[in-house]
Amino acid sequence: MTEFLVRRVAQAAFVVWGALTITFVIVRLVPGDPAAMMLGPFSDEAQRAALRGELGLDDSVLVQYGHYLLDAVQGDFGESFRLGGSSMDAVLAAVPATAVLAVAAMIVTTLLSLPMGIAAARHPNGPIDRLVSAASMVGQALPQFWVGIMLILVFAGGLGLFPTSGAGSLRSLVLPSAALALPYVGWLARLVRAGVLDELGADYVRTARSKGIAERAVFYAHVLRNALVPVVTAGALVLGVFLGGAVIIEVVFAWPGVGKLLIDSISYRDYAVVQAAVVLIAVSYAVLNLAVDLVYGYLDPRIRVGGS
Amino acid sequence: MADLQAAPAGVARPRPRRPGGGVTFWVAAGFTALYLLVALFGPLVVPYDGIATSIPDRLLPPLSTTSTGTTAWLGTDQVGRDLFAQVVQGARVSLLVAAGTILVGGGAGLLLGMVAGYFGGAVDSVIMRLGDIQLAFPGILLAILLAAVLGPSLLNVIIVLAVLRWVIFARLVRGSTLATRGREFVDSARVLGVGTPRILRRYILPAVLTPFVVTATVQVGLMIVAEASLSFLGLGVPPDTASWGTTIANGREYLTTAWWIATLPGAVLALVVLALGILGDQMRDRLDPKLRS
Repeated sequence: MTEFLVRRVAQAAFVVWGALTITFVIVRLVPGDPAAMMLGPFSDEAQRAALRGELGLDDSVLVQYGHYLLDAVQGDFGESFRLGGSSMDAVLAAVPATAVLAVAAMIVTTLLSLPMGIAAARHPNGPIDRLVSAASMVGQALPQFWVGIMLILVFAGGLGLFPTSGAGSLRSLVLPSAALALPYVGWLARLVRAGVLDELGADYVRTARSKGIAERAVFYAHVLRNALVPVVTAGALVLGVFLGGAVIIEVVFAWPGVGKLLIDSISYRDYAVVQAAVVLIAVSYAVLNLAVDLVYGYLDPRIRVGGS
Repeated sequence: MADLQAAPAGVARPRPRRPGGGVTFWVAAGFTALYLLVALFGPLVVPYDGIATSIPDRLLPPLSTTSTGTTAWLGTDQVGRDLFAQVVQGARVSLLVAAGTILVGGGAGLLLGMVAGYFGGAVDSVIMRLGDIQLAFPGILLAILLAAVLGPSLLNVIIVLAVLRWVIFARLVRGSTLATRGREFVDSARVLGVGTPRILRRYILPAVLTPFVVTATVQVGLMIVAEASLSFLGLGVPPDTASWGTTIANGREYLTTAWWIATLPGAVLALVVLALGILGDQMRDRLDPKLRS
């Protein structure tokens, strides 16, 4: 177990380093002089040169990269020239809104896909099974931002049931979390279905049945418990997707989370906040993946012994 | 016991056909063909002018008659531009982006995947670890970051999506290459002294191509969604280009007065992507049963 743990933590650290490096490289690709951008059009060359020196932009790329990594490890991505103050603080202030949205979407997805997947597996090729197949197909074809706009059109505009944008009340959470969740409901339901069907064919199920255990007990006490192991993993991965995918939905619903902050900062060319936001999302993604692997290794001992 | 039962069943059992699977396939194929035709030739028949405005015709609902006497099948937008012409133009933009991405990203993935799978060793490790890092990074974030830095243009969207997707193709191709590398006909070609580039081209490539085409079909659909999403955020094609994403973003401002501007391009997009998804799935079932999940 220790070896498995060490290996996975090392992998996660490697991924975080990769995310930091990708962000560094991409932001350095920005054309133009960052100092000129930050000071605005009314600055003279001396001011720009001073700021460039202060920001370390005159150093070689390698030195800049070294400073960047050292600062990043301490959570320091520089000051936001738009908002003032530390860029990481601005991002951290937006985290709760995004987390609430992602968790709400996760709850919606689970509540819908678990019963659907189980029902589909109990009657393969039945009406619910076909509905799940179709929902998964359609869900993948629908662009999430358009689903959000359609929900606004019908439930906020037409029926007037929910607010169109903003955060603050439970009602304002309904539409964005539904828009985030809906495209993934069919997909997760199919995973549940596949997991249950796999387990139904296993030897221990035959044994349990031949011992005369009631079908309901076989299903809920044996099959479902084992079938849910891969679903837990998939569910956590979906949560990661929600953290990243919330970007577009937050823009559609003017939800004050990390994604909206990221897009706003991009339009103001406030790259300190952009870097902090991207790195924070990437790190939480990596940590989530790590947590999933550890939980998975705990739930299914075969993984930690034979894993590659 | 289990073996005795399994062996004849595996051979003799007819492939389970989904009821109506044939019809679904042809409908999806027909719709895809229609999309290709419209994207290629539509703008010639229904020209779109991004800067022409017609104030008397603004915000007309679908099926209205414009001031020039023509019918606006899908209505008009806030400056009187015909929505149908915009959707047709958007089809071309999305096809351009998808085809360009398959060409650049798929091509790079094909090459790198074949090299990684055939040679193995350090080359394989470097290419695949690079892919691992990238896949651990949320895709949409990478796209947004890269698109923001490069600026909005058709070519940049293709670059962004190619960077995003090469890993998918490289992994797939590497897997098929690994499976083919050890086959007898490849060994015998090597023993007979056939050069490595020729082995890759004549012996590995044909085996790799079928799963590649199947995956590419599905990826075209995903690419269309990605292009629309980036354009919606203002990070895709320039705002004066009629993309499905920019049209939907534009219609968002007029949801209460003109529902059709945001609704109809999105519906067309969803239908196209759905058709491509079904087509890809059915092609996979027909061409390569091993790939079925």
